Amino acid sequence: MLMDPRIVRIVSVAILLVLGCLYVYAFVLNKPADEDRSFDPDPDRASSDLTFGGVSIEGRENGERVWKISAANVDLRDGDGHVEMSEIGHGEIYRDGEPYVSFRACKGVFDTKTGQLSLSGGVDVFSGGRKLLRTDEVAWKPDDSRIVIPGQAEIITEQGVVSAASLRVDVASDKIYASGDLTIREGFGGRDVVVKSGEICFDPAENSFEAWGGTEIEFEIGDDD
Amino acid sequence: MKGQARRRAMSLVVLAVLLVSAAIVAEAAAKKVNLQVHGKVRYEGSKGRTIVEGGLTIRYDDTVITATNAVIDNAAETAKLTGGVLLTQKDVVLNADEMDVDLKNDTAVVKGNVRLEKREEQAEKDESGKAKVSVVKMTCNILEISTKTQDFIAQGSVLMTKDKQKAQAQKANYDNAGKTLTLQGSVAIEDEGNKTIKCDRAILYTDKELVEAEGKPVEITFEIEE
Repeated sequence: MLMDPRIVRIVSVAILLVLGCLYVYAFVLNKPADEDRSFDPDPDRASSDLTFGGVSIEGRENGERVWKISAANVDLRDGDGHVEMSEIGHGEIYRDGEPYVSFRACKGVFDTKTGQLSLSGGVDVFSGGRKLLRTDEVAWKPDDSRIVIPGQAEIITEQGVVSAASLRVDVASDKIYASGDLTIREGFGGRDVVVKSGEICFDPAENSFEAWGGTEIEFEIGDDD
Repeated sequence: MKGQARRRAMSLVVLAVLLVSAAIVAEAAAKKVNLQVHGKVRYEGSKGRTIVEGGLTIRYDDTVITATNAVIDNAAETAKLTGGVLLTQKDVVLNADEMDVDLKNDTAVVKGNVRLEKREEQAEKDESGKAKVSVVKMTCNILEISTKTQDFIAQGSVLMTKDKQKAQAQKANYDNAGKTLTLQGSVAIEDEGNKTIKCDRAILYTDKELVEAEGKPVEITFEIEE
């Protein structure tokens, strides 16, 4: 018995329509969120990796605490010896067993082989209860006793903001060294000052700097109105 | 309605022109200062000063100042320079032991071994029709100069020479626009041919050989060839 071709057409169209709706429901409306994927940045990595949520971890050097981090997520990757941390709400870098500076950042990576701690994404560094630095990338190697900021950074002082092309914090001597151009906002007569020097030693507590040999300072002066 | 729209459009145009003019004026008012430190510099933001040691050069507009040391007041935009201070600008060269420079107001006060040299075009022309150039040299105790106008006031044991003319006074005011040097207090001018003028006040024209003497008495001494 043959079916009426009209009924066959209607049934076929209805089946296609249902399949289309199912596709939209499954792959468009209920598409997996990107945030969910961020928990697993490397899907090919070994299945023995561990992910922890809302934990505090610390790094030690010769048995002494050198950093401590509280992060929303921590991934232990056994393949390359990296510990990845995301959403770092609070972290501390220690000097002589005492907190030296604290920080927060979007992401942190601790290399267990080199002992380097790298922070990235909106890194804010605090000292003595106030914000000291704002940058996008920080590297801290305890055995070097240096915090390296390879890119643009802002030092926040009580008098204003100082921008630097790159910075190096010598934790042992408590000094900040800037390389490249240093811009002091409202440094002279309410106007910006640009300092060009091979190396500049900056003291954020006093909002002062020292530079030697071949330093060039540029600023504008004139009517304030 | 049309008239109202036109008035509104005109107002906007006028406002835009005013804003652009204000921006141009502000740009013109501001000037760039370049400070080159050859030795060491310490910027003290909290104390509002900058200390330079071991040599520096300040450049702004057409003025160049060199010295050994400087203390700059960051907010006031003034600087105290010491050690072999040298200011050069256009046809002016000024040496002294120390200088207080006001970068904002284009003035400088120099003290100690003050020596000023100014090349001055003369009204008199040479054979080729070019203006003759004389060098006015001056020493004094204190000198205040405007780097905007090149006017200056010299005080204390003022000694001036120009070609074969010599003058001394307690005070001298120089007006660059009028090319006049007004001498005051125990004025003595010695001219070519041992002619001397002693008076209270004299106006000396630096671009020509002309002296106006005032006071009671004006004493003129000159030799008569027999």
